[in-house]
Amino acid sequence: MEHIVIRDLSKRFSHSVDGEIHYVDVLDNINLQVMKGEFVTFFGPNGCGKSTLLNIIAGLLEPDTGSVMIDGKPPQKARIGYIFQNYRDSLFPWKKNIDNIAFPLELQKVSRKERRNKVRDVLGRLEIKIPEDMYPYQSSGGQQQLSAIVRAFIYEPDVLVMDEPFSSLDYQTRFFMQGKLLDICARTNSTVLFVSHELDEAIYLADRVVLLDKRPAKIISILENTLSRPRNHVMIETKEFFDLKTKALRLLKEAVEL
Amino acid sequence: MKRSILVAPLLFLLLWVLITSFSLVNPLFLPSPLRVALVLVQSFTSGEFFQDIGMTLVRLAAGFVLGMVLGIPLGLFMGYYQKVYDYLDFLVDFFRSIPVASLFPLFLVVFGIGELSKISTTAWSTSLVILINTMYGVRNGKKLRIMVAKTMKASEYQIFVKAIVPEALPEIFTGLRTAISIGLIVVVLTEMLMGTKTGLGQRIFNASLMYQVPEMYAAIFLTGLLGFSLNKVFVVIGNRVIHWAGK
Repeated sequence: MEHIVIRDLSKRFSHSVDGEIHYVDVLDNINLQVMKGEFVTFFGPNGCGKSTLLNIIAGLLEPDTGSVMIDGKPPQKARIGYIFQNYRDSLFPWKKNIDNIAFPLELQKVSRKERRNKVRDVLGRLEIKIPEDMYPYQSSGGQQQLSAIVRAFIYEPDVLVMDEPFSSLDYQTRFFMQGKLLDICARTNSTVLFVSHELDEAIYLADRVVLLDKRPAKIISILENTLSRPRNHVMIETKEFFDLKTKALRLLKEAVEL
Repeated sequence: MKRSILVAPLLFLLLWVLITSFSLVNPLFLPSPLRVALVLVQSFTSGEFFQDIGMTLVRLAAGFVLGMVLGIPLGLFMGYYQKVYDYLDFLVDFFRSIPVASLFPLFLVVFGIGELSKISTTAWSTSLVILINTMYGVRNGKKLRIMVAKTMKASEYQIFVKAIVPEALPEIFTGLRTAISIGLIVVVLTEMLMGTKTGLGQRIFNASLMYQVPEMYAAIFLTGLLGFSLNKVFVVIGNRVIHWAGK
């Protein structure tokens, strides 16, 4: 059964320059269905409208035309775990790591003791180590983003929406985080929509890669990733991975030449 | 504490000693540091200064607390509602441009020559500083944190209390620190110009009128020490409470 259904989605922004209103088309007729537990990545040039697409799916923006349904509900009624690139600004610096992760429970008025227990329980089950009693600014970038990811899981989201979550991390940390994310997703059977501007990352993580054109974003093609799971980084060196990447590059190149 | 911070004060003191011991300046205008120190010690042993420091502090505290009670809520309100900001921004900007001394006659007419006029003048000045900082703290908070709370279906009240207010705290605290310094200036001014028998401002003013120059210097020194200590106290509290600021 389809979990997320995106139908005929379009969006344009308007801004006025010297009193004249200009329109910029950002999304052009996006259609996509995502199954429960699927990991879908979006790959496209910078500024093509990927974040706008995620914001609409997360219910933070209204589309001009078309609709998004999550389990038959509009996004505003669904639970969305949103993870941003800027972990520093998305965590609350006045809260300890453990209380940052527990924030969704705090909003649900769960008692302090109960929510801390729940966080420790989830961290244990996911085999994640975060310095609980430290503040975000005392933790590394990887630990901060990991806190943000666990915070999203604590919320028990219907969909996990990730906007270039690893772009600000260094290379080794990014490797570690990709592995950790896939591990968490496998354990929780989560549905993930993941925006990336790195082709390797987009292919490596995904069940399907959605290739997007430059603005206005429309779907060029959807690439099935047949690599088996669990994934490991050795796969990046295999011929199968190389072929997928070549195919993606050819599709992107064709779209540019049109 | 670094030893190097003592170098400049000691040099300053040395310069003062040199000027006075060679009588480079008429001692009527500049007594020796030793004389000033003696007056300080005398006044403390006789308890004279305690009442003055006490009264200045009480007026400052009353004006400051009042300024806080007015400034923080109004600042939060103005920062949060764009409409309210649009309506009031010009007025607040104008009010803070009025030199507070020019309002002394008005406050005297309205509140009389008692404590009320001094406290309300101080409250006026401090509340404006606190209001403006609070407002900017709310307006310039990180929008992403609000978005995070929104994605987790936080209510408007929750977003305000759990994201916007803590986000504004560093700015609010900067406002409080600036306000305590400005508050001291205003209190001392009111003590000089609004008529009273107590307070450091009155002590300085009277000593000057009666050419008790060492007493005047002693009172100035005490006022400076008071301002310095208050600022330090606020810095220490700020670093404790707003531990995340600038990190």
